[in-house]
Amino acid sequence: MMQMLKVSSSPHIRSRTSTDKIMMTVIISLMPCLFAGTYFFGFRALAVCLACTLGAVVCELVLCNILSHSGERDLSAVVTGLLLGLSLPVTLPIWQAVLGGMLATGLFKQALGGIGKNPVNPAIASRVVMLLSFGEMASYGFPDNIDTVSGATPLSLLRDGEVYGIGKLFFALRGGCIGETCTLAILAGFLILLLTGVISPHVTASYVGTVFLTSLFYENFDFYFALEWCLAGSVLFGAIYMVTDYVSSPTTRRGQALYGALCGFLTVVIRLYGLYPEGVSFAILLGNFAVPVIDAFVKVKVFGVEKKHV
Amino acid sequence: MLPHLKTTEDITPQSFNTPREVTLPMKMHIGKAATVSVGVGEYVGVGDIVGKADGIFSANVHASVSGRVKEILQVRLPDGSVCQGVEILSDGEHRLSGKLKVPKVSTVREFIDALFASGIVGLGGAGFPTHIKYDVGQRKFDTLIINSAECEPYITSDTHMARDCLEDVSFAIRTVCSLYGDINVIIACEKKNFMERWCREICGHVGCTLKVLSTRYPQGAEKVLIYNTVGRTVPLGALPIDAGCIVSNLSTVAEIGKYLRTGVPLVRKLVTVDGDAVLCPTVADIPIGTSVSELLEWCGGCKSKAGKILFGGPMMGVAIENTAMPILKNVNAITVFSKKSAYLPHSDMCIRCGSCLRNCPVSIDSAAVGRAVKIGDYRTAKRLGIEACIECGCCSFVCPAKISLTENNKRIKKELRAMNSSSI
Repeated sequence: MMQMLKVSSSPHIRSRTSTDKIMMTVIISLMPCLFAGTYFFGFRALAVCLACTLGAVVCELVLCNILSHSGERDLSAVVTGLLLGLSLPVTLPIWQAVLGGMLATGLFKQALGGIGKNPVNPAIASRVVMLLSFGEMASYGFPDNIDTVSGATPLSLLRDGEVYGIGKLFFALRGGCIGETCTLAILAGFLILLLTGVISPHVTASYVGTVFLTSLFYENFDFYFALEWCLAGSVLFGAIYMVTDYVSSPTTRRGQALYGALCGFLTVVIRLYGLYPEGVSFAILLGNFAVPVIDAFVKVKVFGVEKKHV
Repeated sequence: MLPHLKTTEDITPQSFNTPREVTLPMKMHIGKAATVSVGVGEYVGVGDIVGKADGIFSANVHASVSGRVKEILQVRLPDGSVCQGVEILSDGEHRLSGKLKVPKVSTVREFIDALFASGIVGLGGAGFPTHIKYDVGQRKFDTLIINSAECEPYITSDTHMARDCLEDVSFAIRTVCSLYGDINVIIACEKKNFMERWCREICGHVGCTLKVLSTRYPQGAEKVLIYNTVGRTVPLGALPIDAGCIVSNLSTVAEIGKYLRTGVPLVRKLVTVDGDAVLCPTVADIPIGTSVSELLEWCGGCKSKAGKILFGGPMMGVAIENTAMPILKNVNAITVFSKKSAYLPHSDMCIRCGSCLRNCPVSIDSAAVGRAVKIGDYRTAKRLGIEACIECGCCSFVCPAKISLTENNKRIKKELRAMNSSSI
């Protein structure tokens, strides 16, 4: 009674999580932001996001096939496209949004080796390139009147020492990118990610915490101003969706906390002294480059192994 | 995180006494294979020695059924190696050997000799010869931890031993205490319905300490268990005795007690038969050396065609290549998977989520180890502590990209061992 049996190395069972499921959860967690963006900015916001996602997905599929990379079906391109789309201004020409999406997955992901190999966050890197290339990137729309091309965003007001109002910042009554203006929606997404265990609060907390503390110093310990610094711009969006990116952040919890603090500090410094007011994007991009160094220095002690033995 | 699936926790074990024949490999333990000490055609009773231990780092093998020796043959073991084996055609009578007698144990030396004679090895899975473990010599031995964690899914044989062998376990504990002097005996179990109850009963009976640990795989891994029970760290490359501890599986302790009380060596084993392809999950008390096919047939067979059969549970069990394989001393479960469960998902690229590191009981970054070895950097792999890997399977289990990290780790450890021995 001989029969063919499968033989493999242990363990013989696997958990139910998978890359696709994690990506799907992130997509679901982005839905409140997408809804809020569409609600406040109108359907053009949805069009920009979808155009960006389309560009990202098409470019990913084509390049995965050409370069024979695996993972073209793991939904990560959708996540990248949506993240980028949500951090674009609503007034951006559609073709630029498509191009940005293609740039993100094409140049900053597939060309660097595919999923898991990119040293930088593709959405952030692509956003920075767009920022330096397209003048339209700096013209933030306002929720009440999307024809307003330019105007003072909370950040420029803050830099000039004016009060914007926390209430306004919380409920999207301000200028900014599609996904970053409604704090409530962002927090809803954060809750989804935390409850499903996709992210841990370490990076987010250390990032926002550092932004808060650094601006507290700058504002001579005025809590109200420091809080506004945290709610203005894309600090929260970046803290929840960008610095938490697995691939471009350190592996250890302590490393993640360090990385969050570094990005947070850079954010405030760039906001205050940079040529562009783009603190979050530049800071995270710079932080990405520090990740290999952080990973090399922050190590977890292996159980039962003495330091001097190695 | 890990499913329990202890469906056989509360059933009554059944005795299987009618295997047509048994095959007894000479190597069912860590160390040197025993040497065959019977000839073809010879009549043996239950408990007669058929394989004599070859030196100290080895273990005796005893006939598990009565009958005539049919053949001395080459047996293939689950790990792929081959050793000699004795095939005994059962006469169905299970006549005990006349040579068995209750051992006289009044000194540590006599205790060690008795363990050596009994052929008992670590029944938790490793198969480490028990007489070596208890031969502590001049080393400090102050704590005996009885490992009752049984943390793998499906497996329940220890639970049943805890319920049914109260007297044996108690006798063994009392003997060890009287021989080794002032030692602390701790029964360590997970927070679980039945196991916890039976362990509490034993502790009440014999007056030792119960340590209830959280129900979390791999709680029963030796080094993890020692740390969680007494807070001591066993360094890499050291044995529990270097931390003053001996860890014995509950079944092992029960078998020690049984031998000391009756003189019957290790010839039978409780085995959990479970898995998604098994028709009715059972706990079977079988003669060692029974073939998997005979046991499965007796248990009522499978729902569907078996796709994969494991010696042990799904986390650390060894997949066997055919059902002719005899059941060894250190097998505590036969897990049968259907064709559907036998295949593992394809692996994707690592997304650097860090789950493997966070879920590793000894904190090894398996993904980073894999990346280093891919470019031939074994020094980094060593620096990341790969040699401390206990092969529990947690990293592979949690990996969202379904990478076989544990398999990689095992291979890398093997390669490092080969490098170390060649460089000396």
